[in-house]
Parts: sequence; C-alpha cells; structure tokens
Amino acid sequence: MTIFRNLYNLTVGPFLKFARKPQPTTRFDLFYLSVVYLVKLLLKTLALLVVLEVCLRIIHLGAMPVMPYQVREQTPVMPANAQFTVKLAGHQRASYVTDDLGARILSADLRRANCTGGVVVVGDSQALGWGINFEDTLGSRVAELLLHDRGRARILGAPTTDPEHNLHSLTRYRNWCPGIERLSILILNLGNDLDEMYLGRWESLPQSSGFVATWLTMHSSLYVDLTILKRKLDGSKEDLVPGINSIMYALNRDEQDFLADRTAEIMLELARLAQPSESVMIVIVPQDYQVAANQFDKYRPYYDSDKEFNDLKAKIPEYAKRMSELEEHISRKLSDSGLAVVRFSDIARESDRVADLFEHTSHHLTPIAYQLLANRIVNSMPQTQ
Amino acid sequence: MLSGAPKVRRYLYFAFTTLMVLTAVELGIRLAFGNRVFGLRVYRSITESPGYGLAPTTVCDMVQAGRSLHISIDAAGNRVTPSAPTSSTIPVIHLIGDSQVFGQGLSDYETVSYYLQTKTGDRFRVINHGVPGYGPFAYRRLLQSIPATDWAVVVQTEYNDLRDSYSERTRTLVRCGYLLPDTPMGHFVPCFGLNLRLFQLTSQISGAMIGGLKPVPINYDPHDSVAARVLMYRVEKLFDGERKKRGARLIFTVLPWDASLVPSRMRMYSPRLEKAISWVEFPDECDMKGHFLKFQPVEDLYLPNDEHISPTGASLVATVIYDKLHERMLIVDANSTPPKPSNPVH
Repeated sequence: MTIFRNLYNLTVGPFLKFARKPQPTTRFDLFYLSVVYLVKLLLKTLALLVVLEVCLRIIHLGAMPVMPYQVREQTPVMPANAQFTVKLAGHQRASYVTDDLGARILSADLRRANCTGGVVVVGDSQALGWGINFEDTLGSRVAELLLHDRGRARILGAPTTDPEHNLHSLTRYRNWCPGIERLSILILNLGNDLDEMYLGRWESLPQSSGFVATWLTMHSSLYVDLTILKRKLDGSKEDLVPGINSIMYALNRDEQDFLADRTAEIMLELARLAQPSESVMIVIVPQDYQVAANQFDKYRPYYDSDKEFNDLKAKIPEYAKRMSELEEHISRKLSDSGLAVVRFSDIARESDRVADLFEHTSHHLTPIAYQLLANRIVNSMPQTQ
Repeated sequence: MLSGAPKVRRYLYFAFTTLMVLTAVELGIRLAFGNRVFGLRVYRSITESPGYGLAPTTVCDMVQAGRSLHISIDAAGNRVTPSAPTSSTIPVIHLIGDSQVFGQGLSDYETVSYYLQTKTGDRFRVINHGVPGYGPFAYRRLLQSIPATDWAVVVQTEYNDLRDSYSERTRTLVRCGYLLPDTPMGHFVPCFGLNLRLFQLTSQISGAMIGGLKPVPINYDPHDSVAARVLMYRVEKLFDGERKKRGARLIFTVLPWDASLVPSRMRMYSPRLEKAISWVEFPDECDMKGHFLKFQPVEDLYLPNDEHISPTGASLVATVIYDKLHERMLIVDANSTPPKPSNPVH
C-alpha cells in the first residue's frame, strides 16, 4: 500500500494539488466559463468573417475572381440557372447566364426557349468564352451570322472539361433537347484537352460537388479567395509545366500517337451523339505556341527563374511541331470519316494579326479569333457555300 | 470572472488534465493491443525510383482491421517467406507485385509466397518481392535485377496498377519507417507523434469516416476510357524487353478488383457503378478472374472492407500460379523436375 501511496504522491498527486489551487473554483464555474469563452470566440470569429466578406465584395466590386463550376456525375459543369459576373485577371468584367443544364445562354428569359433549330457549341472553356461576354463567344458569333439571332446559341461548356466529359454532357443535353439543331459545333482544344483526358485522370473527380461548397462558391467571396489562396499555397500542380502540354513530357511518341487515335475516336462518338443536327462541325483549336513560338513568352511569370523558362522555351519548336503532327493526325482521321473539320491553325496562318488571336495570359482565343472562326465555320457549311 | 494569474493557471489546469487523459488513453491502447502499431512500419528511403523499399531485417507487429499481424522483412529487404529453403543452389521463383503480393493485411504465414512455397517444397525457393505502393515501373525495375534464367511471376493489381503507371515516382515519402503521403503532415509530424498509437488510431478512424470513398479503378471509370487505354498501352509496352529476354519463364497475372466480382462492395467506391465494365484488361496468363469466379463465396477471397486478398484468396492465387508454373516448366525444360499439379482450393 505504501508503494502505491508513494507512487500516487509522485505522479497524480501534484497535478490534483495544482488543479485545486486556483480560486474561486467549482465544477459549475469551470463549465460555465468554458461555454462563455467558446460562445464569445465563436461570435468574434463570425463578426470577423462578415467584415472580411464585406471587404472582399467591395474589392471585387461584386464580381467573382474565378470562373465558378461544379461537378455533376463526375463531369465539370457550370452552375445551373445561375447569373453572375466574372472578372478574371487581364479581362474586362463579363456576365454569365446559364440554363437548367448549366449551358451558357444570352439571357435569363431564354432559359426555357425552344432549343430546336439553334446553334449548340460543345467544349471546354474555349467554347464557354473565358472571361468574355456572351456576345463575344464563338456560339454567339456563329448564331448571329447563321440565324441573325445571338439568342439562338447555347454553349455546353465548362472549365476543365474535355471531349470525354462532353460525351456525358451531350447525352444529358440530348435527353433534355431532342429537337434538331441547325448546327452543332464540337470543339477540340489542343491547349489542354489531350492532357486532361490523360493526365487529368490521375486523380479522379468526385461524383458531385458538395452542396455547401457549391453554395459558398456562388455566394461567398471570402470562400472563393480562401480557395484560391489554398491552391497557391498547396502548389499541388507540380506535375504541370505552365504553357506546355503535359503530354509532351508525360508520354513518349508512341503513346502520343495512341492518345491521338483515341481522341479521334471520342470526337467521332461526340459527333454521333450530336445528331440529330442539320450540320455537325468539328473545330480544332491549336495550342498557342503551335501558331507562334513567341506565344510562350506570356507564361514567363509562372516560372521561378530565367533559366528554367529558357530551357523550356528552347524546346517549344520541337513541341509545336509535334502538336501539329498530332493535330494533323486527328484531323485526317475525322475528315476520312466524313466529318467537317475546321482547323483554327489554318485560319491563324492566313491571318496578319496572329498576336491578337490568343489572350495575353492564356491559350484562350480572343473575340477577334472567334469572329474569324465563326466566319470560316459559316462559310464551310454546305448550305451556305 | 477570473483574471490575471488565476486565469493562466486555469488554462494550465486544462492543459495538464488533457495531457493526463491523453496519456492514459495512449497507455490503455498500448496495453489493450500489446504495444502493436496500427500502421506498417517497415519502410526505408532509397535513392532510385520509386524512392522507397522495405527496410532489411525489420519486424513489425501490427493490428489491421482487428487482426493481429506479424510482418518480417529479411536481410535482402524482401518480406520473409516462411519455410523457404536457404540454399543458393535451389532454383528461384520471384513473385513481383505490390501490396497484394507483399501481403497487406496478412501475416507472414498467410501470404501468396508462403502458400506457393508450401506447394513447391524444397525444390524451389520463393522470393516475395511485393512492396506496397509499387506499380508497373517498379515491377520492371525488379525484373531487370533478376537473373534471366530464374522464374518470375508478375502479379498485377487491377485496382490500382493503371493509376500507378502514370509515373515512376510516387507521391509518398518514408519517415520513421512509415510510408507517408507527400503532404505537410507527412513531412513535419515528428517520429514521436507518428508512433503514438492514439495518433495512428485516430488517423485511421478519421480517414475512414471523413476520407471519402475510394476511387474506382481507371479502367472501370465511365469517364476514363482514354486514360485507361493509353495507360494499358504503356503497361504492355513496358514489359516488351523482359518478355523477349525471359520467354516462358516470365508469367503475368492479375488480381481482380474486388467490386468487379462482388457487387455489394461497390459501396466502398466512388462513383458507384451499376455494373463494373472494364475498358481494358490486364494481361493474365493464368485466368485469375476465372478462378476467382469459380470460388464460392467470392467475397471470402478478400479481406473485409478492403480490396486486398484474404488468406483464402492468397492460397487460391498461389494454387493458380503453381499450376501455371508447372505447365510452363513442362514446356520450358523437359529435364527439370516439375512440381505436381496441386489440388484446387475449397
């Protein structure tokens, strides 16, 4: 017993003695004070969050600093029935309106409009229009030329989608709108579609975005800014090299050819799903450095050193040549299957304003480029030739 | 209200009480589980890809999914195959793979290599080259280090080997003998913290509760057909050289994804598929999937709530591999003494 008592005096005893010392002390006091402290802390935190939210809304002037999108059945889509303003870096403010499916449309009153006889554009951010108003998008320009009504265009596009995702988006759209379109435009964006269909699957997308995250993305500037900050701190895109197609270094030539074949197959499947449609056209948008090697210069801010940047810049001609080979390969396969293919690289080659065709911060096309593309598409249609 | 020194003392009181409670819980867990760990502590860093291997002459007594496991690593850095003959003159069968071949969730006496060794007896020495987290790049590297005249069986894992084919590198690091994710937690938690049973247990429980569902394999994901095909093309090409060099002495097989055979297990994965349809199939010279499907109930071949094979599964896999080896040995070398065909596992 003495041993136990000594052990108690050496270990637990001093702690209990210490705990008894502060005055006043009752168990009720401790519990009460703890609750009061916690509630106070919670209220102060909430007040701070509200102040931050208000400040950030003022700073952003009510616009979102990123393009919001969510995941539905593992496919990135724009938020359905939404209306918001986006102000991306290097862009003017642009407004976005979406319908039941999350397709971009001209205005909210067209959400329930008859989708038959219109122009539907399927693709990623290149189709959606990156930080530009609806009037400047490819779909709008084509609808204006073809139907003299910009409101007849509907854009099934969202950031980070690729042709394989679009198979699922288009299937959903076809169930929603079984009518015959005047024109279906399917965009293959060589800026990142091949990369996303391959490397983008390393980590799988969730089945769908959580309700809370979706709501906060649309309604809280603080949440969006914190998400951006977290991504920057994470630096989680270590496998990606800014401005360069990841398939250039992640795959060997054989594998790249194999990927190009599979991509062509997916585009053929997309074209099949796009029926019924009076015309189906595939638009291939090249990577910016395919059109002009100096386009790569705009990615310098994303690199830590001149050496790192220049080492990659030296490889651009080789990468551009390879990407053009893949483009040629895919285009030929699609044409051989009887599909109408428009290659923006051809348009860019003929243009004397190459520097104005791509944005100065990314591989996205400018409104000037969309207009040129729209002209070519409409001129290429059998009915208008 | 309290203020000043008494307030500080109050906080200290809370801190000490909490520490006492946590210490008591830690001691309680250690006592209850015989001081076993809850995470596999057998790894070491290496310079070449994939950046880690098994630490030679290591023993780890651990608890996984309620089972007490004894895991030992031999002097060469391979998992011990009990009762394997030690003579260097005996022909060798190399088993190459990831956690399935290693025997994740299994004791030394329950692995595929153990069962295979039991079947071959003293005529062959089975070496278990399985390492959790390894993929096709690592398998090829191991094959290249093995004499061309030895028998080698590459056991691929349908669940994750395509995803593991993206890169030779892994997104993991080894610290304090544990394989950790390449995250701030993996980098900065001290060994003392990593070894706390309370930390290990709460990590596992919180991971199971809020970690979400596991992704379906790329080759089964309805949105990943292109990636699956390109990766499979890569995997097939990876082994071209070794196939030519080794001929019939190299055997490929694959362990089927559990949910593809046991639909009720689809609940463990996201997205939840109505039907498991694969875009591409791994090379399988043993028709492992066919053998798995013949076994009833198939679920018994896997550990509960885990994609890894159970002792019963390991025994079946060993039987199938043994029979294929027997068949190949007859073809390859008429002068060798082929092992007799085994009885099927029931």
